[in-house]
Amino acid sequence: MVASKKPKFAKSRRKGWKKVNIDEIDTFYEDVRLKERVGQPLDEPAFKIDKEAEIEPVLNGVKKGKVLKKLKQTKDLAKNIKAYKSLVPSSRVPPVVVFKNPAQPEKKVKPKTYGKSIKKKKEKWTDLKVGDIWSGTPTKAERKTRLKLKSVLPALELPHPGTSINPAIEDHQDLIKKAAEVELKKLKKDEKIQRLLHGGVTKKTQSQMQKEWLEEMSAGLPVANEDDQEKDDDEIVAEDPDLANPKKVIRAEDRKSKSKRRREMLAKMREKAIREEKEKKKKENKIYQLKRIKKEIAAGEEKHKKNMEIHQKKFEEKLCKPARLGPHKYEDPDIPVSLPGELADRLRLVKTEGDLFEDRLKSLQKRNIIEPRKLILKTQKKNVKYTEKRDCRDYENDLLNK
Amino acid sequence: MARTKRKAVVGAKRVYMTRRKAMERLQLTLKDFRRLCILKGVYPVEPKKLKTGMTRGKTYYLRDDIRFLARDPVIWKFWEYKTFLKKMTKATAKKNELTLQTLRDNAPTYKMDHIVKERYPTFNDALKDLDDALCMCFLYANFSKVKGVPVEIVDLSRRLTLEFMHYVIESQSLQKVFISIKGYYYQAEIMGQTITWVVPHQFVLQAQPEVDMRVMRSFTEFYITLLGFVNYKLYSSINMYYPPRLSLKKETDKDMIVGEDKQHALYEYIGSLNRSLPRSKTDEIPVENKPDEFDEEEAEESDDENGDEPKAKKRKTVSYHKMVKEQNIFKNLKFFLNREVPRESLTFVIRSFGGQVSWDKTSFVGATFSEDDPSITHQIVDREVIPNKYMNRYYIQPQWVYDSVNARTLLPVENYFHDVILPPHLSPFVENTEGGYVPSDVSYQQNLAFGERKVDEEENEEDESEPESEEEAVEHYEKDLKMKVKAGKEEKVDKKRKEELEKAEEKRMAVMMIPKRRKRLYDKIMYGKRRNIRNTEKLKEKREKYEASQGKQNFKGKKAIRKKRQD
Repeated sequence: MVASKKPKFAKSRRKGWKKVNIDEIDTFYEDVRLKERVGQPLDEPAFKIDKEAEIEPVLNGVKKGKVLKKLKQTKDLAKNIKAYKSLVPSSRVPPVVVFKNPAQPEKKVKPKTYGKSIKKKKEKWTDLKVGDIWSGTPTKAERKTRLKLKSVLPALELPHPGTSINPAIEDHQDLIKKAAEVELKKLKKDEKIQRLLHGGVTKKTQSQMQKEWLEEMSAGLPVANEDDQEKDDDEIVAEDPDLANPKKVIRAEDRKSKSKRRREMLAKMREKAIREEKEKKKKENKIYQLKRIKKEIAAGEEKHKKNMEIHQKKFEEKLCKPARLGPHKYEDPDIPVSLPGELADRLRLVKTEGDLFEDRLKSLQKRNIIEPRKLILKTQKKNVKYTEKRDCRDYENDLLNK
Repeated sequence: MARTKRKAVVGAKRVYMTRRKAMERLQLTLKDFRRLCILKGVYPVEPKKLKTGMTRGKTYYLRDDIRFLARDPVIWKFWEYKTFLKKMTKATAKKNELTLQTLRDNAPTYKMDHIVKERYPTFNDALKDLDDALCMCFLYANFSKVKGVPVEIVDLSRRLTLEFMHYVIESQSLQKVFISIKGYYYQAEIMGQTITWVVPHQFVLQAQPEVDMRVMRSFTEFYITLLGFVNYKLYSSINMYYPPRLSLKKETDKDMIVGEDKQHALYEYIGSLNRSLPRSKTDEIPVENKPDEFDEEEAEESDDENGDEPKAKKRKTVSYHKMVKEQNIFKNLKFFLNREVPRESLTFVIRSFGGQVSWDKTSFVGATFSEDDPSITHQIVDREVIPNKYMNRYYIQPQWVYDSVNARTLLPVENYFHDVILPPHLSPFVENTEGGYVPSDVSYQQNLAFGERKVDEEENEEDESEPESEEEAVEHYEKDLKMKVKAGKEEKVDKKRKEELEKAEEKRMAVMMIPKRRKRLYDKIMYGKRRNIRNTEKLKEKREKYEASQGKQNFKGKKAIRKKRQD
């Protein structure tokens, strides 16, 4: 069987080319060329102008939305810059033709500010921009304040009626009495200190002082009397525990025998058994003591209750008293008093007493809000020793003075 | 290298922390730490027991509190400020003016609004702590401008306190006033809270060396912010605009006031107290901000039931009308203040009780009527000799105003004329218990206070008895005619006495009905009362004896004594 073979041609030759029907295309192009030649209009325009889309010039490197800044005209520049002035036409003859830009809405360009940029002002507490911060009901978390009861004392102590500018005589006397009591206490304290400082020292005669001096100076030196010395040595021996009780040396004959040890142990066990028996009996007997025990419990509870009351009282007292919050103790301020001679007849002539600033501070301290402090005055400068420099010293004068 | 394990903090150390440690932890200086604590309301504590490693002379804080402080954003500002100061010192050392200027312009600032909300979650909490705030602000408001006292704090506290005073005037909530040698004590009742504050006398306030002004300033900074918010809330509660315009001049002129004229501005502030502030809606005040209304009968009934309760409680249940009347004791009265009297205080008090005030318009701004106004009823003076007197007005001393306010009636003016020795100025803060000993001065003033009312009652009784007197006249006429038949005499029934008797009977019955276990308590109370009365009687007797021995001096005997002393 012989297969029918296609005749082979080289593709470089025309015979080897593929045969395609291109009549259709030819006719089309013929038609087109004909039209071009003849000048007949085209059936449809190849493109259309889109009139509906927005006109947005897109330039290289400029983003779509950005509005382009209006270029400054010479006319505008000439206002400020001298060099541009010469460029402005100075002719008084009007131009023949005036070119006008097609009508465009004039845009107002904000003048650019140079130098410091205006910043938004910072809000300070002194601006005091207030509003209603308590409008809604607070949430549970908000309601939980950290404000704890530090003291039950009032923020402002009510004034004693005797501090009135024109007090009733009873009130005034009462106040003076109170103030006097405080002052007397202070005086007493001061007196005590003075007494302790100076009163304890007694005068001594010359001979006494000499004797004392001798004793002091000779302290620790060996004493002349020999008997005393010996005594001292004995005492030292007695005092030293190591020397007094040297370690016991147990000899072989003194050692406990095995049987002795056993006997001792048995005796111990017997004793223990007896003790336990006794304890047991005691416990069993307790059932007959129920009444007493009940009484004891009641008494204990009563005691506990009393203790609790005392504790509660102490706690309440503590709330009224200033706590110890630092190195210094709280001290009450002086009671302001106008003495009977100082009372004025009229409001205009009233002599004021007390300082309200100090009052406030003391009140804060009393209520444990701030710790009591004491004024520390500026420390004095150290004593400085002045010396003359050797170079500047006036030797001649010094010598003369001597 | 192996990671070292951190030692656990145990025992008392876990609870407390020394101030030094706290400062280290928060990275603040002592000054800043103190300020932060004051702003946040964190106070030192006294440890319950001193454990090992704790010393007595140290200031301790709760560890939790310090942790709480570290969380607040204000602390960032404090740190910023620390670095800002460092930069400033560096720039000043280098004399770099430009850097200094920019630094100063960008100085870190802080606000405390959130702290106010945090410390006082409800408005009531804020009102409870208002005493402190008011005292401090009033102190700073009266501070003269000296070195070391920041001007803005003085100005702000002056403004805020004045706003508050305006509120008190408009809401008529002032209750008591007392002038002590320290200053003016005021007490007002605002939304159910009793608020007391003290205002210093004029021109006496000075910075004391013992008082650390930095601490006071920190407190005031916070309280100013608090008072701002409180004022806003108070103003809105009675439908007033906030912030009010306190300056009498126009806003445009405000900038003109500088330097020396600041004193003038202060006068202007006081002047503004004399005007009432505008309200948005006059009549629509919310119900909760109005005074409570009580029925008098109901109150009485409840009193009868609890007859054993002290009378002080009885007095507190006041009828609405009575209260309104008492708050307006100066209504229809016109006061003219002389130059020498304390203008701010008097204007505040008189206006809060419904009076009208004015002063010399040439001396100070804000006068509403002149001295020659014929409708002026009272002129308040504080000098002995007055050259030109007007006939139709009383010349009285300022104390009359304060005493009348405390007594809640107009006291007789004769005792307060400009040239007489004044009766004592008593403290309204002292409450006398029933049956207790009342000093003679107090009882005298109480009698004065109630004197007028008694007169009124008598007049009323007379009016009632008029028709009766007519009947009597008829009787007389009949008698004259010598008629035999006598008209039946109408038995006079004393209504009051009858009522009293009934009440006493009721009470006796009620006492009888008390069960045995309560009876003992009741007897005890009554015994205590009787003992109290006995003691009082004793004291009174003593007094009488004393007065008799002293010879009959008038009730102002003590005044005479005082005068003697002064001579």
